[in-house]
Amino acid sequence: MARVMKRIKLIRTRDLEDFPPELLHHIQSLLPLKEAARTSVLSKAWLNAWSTIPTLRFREFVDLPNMVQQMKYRNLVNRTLLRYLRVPITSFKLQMTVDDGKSASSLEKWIQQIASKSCITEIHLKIDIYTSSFHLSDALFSGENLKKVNLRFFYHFGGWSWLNPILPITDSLANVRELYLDIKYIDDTFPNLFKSKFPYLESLSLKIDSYIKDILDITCVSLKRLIIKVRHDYPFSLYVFAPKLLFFRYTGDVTIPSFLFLPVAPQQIELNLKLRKPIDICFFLKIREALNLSSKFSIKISTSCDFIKQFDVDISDMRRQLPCPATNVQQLSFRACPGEELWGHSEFFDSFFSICNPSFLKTIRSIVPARLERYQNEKSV
Amino acid sequence: MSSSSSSKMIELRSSDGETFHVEETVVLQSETIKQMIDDDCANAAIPLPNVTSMTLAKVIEYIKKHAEKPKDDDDKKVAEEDLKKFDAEFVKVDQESMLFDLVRAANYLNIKSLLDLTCQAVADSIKDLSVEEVRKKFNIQNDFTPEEEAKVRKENAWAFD
Repeated sequence: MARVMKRIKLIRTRDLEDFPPELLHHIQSLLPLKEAARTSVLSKAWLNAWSTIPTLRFREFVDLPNMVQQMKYRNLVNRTLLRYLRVPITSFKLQMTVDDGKSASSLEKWIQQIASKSCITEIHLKIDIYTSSFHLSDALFSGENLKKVNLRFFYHFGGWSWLNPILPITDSLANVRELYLDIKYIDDTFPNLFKSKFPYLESLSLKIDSYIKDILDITCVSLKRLIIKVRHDYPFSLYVFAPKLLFFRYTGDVTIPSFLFLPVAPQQIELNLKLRKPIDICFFLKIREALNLSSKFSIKISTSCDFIKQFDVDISDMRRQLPCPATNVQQLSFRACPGEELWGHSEFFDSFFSICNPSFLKTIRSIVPARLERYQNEKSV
Repeated sequence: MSSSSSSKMIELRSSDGETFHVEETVVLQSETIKQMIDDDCANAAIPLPNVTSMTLAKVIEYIKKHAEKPKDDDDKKVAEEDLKKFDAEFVKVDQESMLFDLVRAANYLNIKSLLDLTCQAVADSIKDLSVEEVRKKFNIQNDFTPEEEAKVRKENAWAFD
């Protein structure tokens, strides 16, 4: 009997009670911010875990915060960071609005404090900027264990007048493996930065309004994944020197850049195109030309009802100009709004089949085109 | 117990004394055991005093599934889908305590993908529940005095609106 009792005691089910703090940290870091903060009242162990969590996340929960709310929020960030001065933080996420010299200098100070920590592996910043006095410190990339950086800067002033490089010219080499940049413009210091300062970079995502030069040259010997998204229709050429590149995705409008990959093109290329301006034969010729680059392609087209209805390209003329359809497109997908009659406009779809014979065809009905239509209307007003 | 002649078998002993034989290539997913093998401490059965036989059986089921290698690219896509389904089913356990035991075992054995999977499952089951519901579901003893709890709630008021 004693033996049986002992056995039962050994395999007795245990609860969350005896979880070490690092496991509670892990669970808290996987919860959305509010839910994670709420776990602090469960018990003392959870409060302790929450007060020492090495993943710091700050987010304003008000869309357009007033002065008092902004002040409160900045004080919270400041207090917390002071408390964490000696705590090893591994991940830091911050969303904030920078609208004057004071908030700009606070943010610069915080970035410096976080980036100088040797334990930090991830930094995410999502910043709305209303002032020209904010400058990103070159300390940002200095962390010896920093692997992932995600920067989203939304400029609400100046437009073209703002041409300072957003990325600091750092003197030291960055250890970063993964970089995500969502910024308005990049200037010609940008290519040089990648040539020399990121010797370990494996993944680069770049989202920009447009580029000020004709040729965007990205040289990075360690790069494996490259994602480029251009918001405005603007013709440019993309030259990539990345011998290890495996994957490339381009997202943009109807003006497809000329691509040049050296020494070899990546195995897989994805083209995501939003059609909202009229297209002509040149558009199809350009895609057909791009299809010669790689062995595996995927093409995603999103458009609006009106666009398909107004589509007017002479297919027979196009077929004369085009070589035979490419067979390396694995998937061709169309995203358009609902409407049965739409799929009756066969010229539109036929033009795409004149350039490629996809292995898979996918049609997605979505509300996105409705948004595109609205966008178009706004632009035309 | 199936065994292949090419791969070495490793013997694991659970806290309640049951032994399990697993191929070395499979068991290497555990950083803890990999370290023991590297240090040449795996000639006899490896004792795992923190893991019960019930939990260990589940862990072995997981690492065996994740050790399967797809033959070619097409097979790879199918295998990825299959693995996703397996993972989703794997964390659907009858009792919360089993999930916690898996978290502990994954932590102790240092199997990162299993730790992420099980912690995510715990996080998912906490989401959308009130504080009282979480305490009840996970049998968490509230060791705050009412004053202390009120203070913590006040400090984190933004999370409760």
